[in-house]
Amino acid sequence: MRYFQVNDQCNGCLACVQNCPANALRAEDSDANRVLSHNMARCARCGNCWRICPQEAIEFQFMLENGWDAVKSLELVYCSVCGVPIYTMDYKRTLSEKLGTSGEPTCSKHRDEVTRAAKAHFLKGRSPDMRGGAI
Amino acid sequence: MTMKILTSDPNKCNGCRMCQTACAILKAGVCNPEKSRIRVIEMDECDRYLPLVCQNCEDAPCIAACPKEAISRSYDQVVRTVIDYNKCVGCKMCLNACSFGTIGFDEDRGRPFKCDLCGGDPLCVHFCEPGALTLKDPTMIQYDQARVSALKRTAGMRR
Repeated sequence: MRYFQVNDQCNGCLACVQNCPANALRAEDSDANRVLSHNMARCARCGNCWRICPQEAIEFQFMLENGWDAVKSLELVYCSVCGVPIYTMDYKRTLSEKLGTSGEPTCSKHRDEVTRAAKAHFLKGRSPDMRGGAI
Repeated sequence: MTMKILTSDPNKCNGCRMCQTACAILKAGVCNPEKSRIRVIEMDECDRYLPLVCQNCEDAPCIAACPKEAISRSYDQVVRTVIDYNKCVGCKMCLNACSFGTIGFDEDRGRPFKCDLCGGDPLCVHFCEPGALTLKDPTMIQYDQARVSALKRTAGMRR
């Protein structure tokens, strides 16, 4: 995505280069061409170049556009009980690499199912009066 | 250095959740069970309640899972696993690694939290009216026997 754009009206006068307070613009003459470059990290988005450009060649409005660029798209893993998205496939891979085991993906709400099922299995049939069996 | 373990007895627990309230107020300063380090889950199958708290596992999955090595074992007051918040980045790896789900996540601060045994004297134990929560030292628990029986019980349900 190019945010700083210069249209065809530019004649290479380099007024913008001279007037950029942040030294974010640069011109190089080589191979019979004058190449104008813009540095996004240096640019302070002051709009000085656009203001002074005699040809009105600088399209600064793209610098002020509010938008989101998708930078990554990863496959989701859903809770095996309720189906809400919990983490991504790559997150799961990292986790299983670190732990050496991989289990059913469960959300925090249904994580208890495993504990509950295991514990209930051993408590079943016992009366509440029976003391002991602490974990 | 003392080794202590917080145990819960589902046969005694009546589900009053006093431990959650006490923990949340002490540790987070708010009366919000979501912020409690201890959690009480209901077991519908046998009509019992089970308080769940960090077990300070020997081979802690949270330590293994943490990509920033922010979780470590501390031996200062009592043997426990602690989170170093200067290293933690809030990736929730530990939350997903924990088999008990006893690590909570503070959405406001973006950091996880877990039971630190209150430095050896947990408040929840004092607040437990029916006496389901107890802090035991290892002489009261036969670790070798417990390990053998636990392995026998969990055989085939490894996750």
